[in-house]
Amino acid sequence: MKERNGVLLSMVACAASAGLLTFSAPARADGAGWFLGGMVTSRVLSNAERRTQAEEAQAYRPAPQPVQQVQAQPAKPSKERQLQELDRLAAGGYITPQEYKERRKAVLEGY
Amino acid sequence: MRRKLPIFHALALGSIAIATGASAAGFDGSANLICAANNVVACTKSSVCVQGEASTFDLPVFMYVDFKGKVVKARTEGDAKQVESPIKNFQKSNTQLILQGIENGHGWGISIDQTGGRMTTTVSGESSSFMIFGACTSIKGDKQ
Repeated sequence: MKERNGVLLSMVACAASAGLLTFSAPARADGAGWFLGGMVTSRVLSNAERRTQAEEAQAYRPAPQPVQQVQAQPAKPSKERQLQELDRLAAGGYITPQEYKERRKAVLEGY
Repeated sequence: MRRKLPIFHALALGSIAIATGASAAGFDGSANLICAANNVVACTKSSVCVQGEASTFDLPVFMYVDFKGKVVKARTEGDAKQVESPIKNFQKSNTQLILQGIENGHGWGISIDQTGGRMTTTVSGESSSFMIFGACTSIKGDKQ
C-alpha cells in the first residue's frame, strides 16, 4: 500500500511539473531589442493610429463649400434717371445749386 | 489471473500516446518553431479597430520560437537587428502550446495548435490590444 501511494504521489508530481513548465528569463535592462512588447507593438499601433486618423479625416472632411456666386452688378441707371434723381435731390434741398450743376454736367458728359 | 490496470497507469500511458502524436508534428516544444504572421487586428481603448495583412503593419516576415533559449525573436531592418521577447511561461494544454511573456508594459501570449501549427498571438497594453494570426512549422534538425 505504501509503495502504491508513493508511486501515485510521484505520478501527480510529474503531471504537475509537466503541465506547468515555467520559464524565468531575466528582464531586459534596455528597451533596444524589445520584440512583441516593443517593435511589433510600436509598428502595429502607429499603423493603426495613422489609419484611424486618415479614416477620421475622411469621415469628418467638411463638405465642399458652394462656389460663391458673384452678384452681377446692377445695371447702371440711365442718364435720364440720374438727372431725375438729381432734380429730386436739388428740389429737396439735399444738394446745393452748385453741386447740382456739377453733377448734372458730369452725368451729361458721361462722367 | 490478470491484474487490473491501475487507473494512473492508464492515464500515464494515454499522456505518453498524446505526447508522441504531438511531437510527431513538432509542435510540442521539442523543436524550435518558425512562425509567419498573416493577419493583424488591432484595437484601441476608443473602440476603434483596424485590421490588415501583417505586411501592411511592416511586421517581420518570420518570428522564431527558441524553446532552449526561452525567447521569441525576429530579425528586422534587413536582418541587421535582432529583437526578442523572453518567454516567461510555457504550458501545454490539451491541444495548444501556450507561451506567455511580459515586456515593456505589455503582456503577450502565443497559442500554437499542436496538431496543425496554427498560431494566434495577442499583445495587450494599457490602451490598446492586438492579435496576430499566422502559422508555425518546426525547424527540422533543430531539436532541443
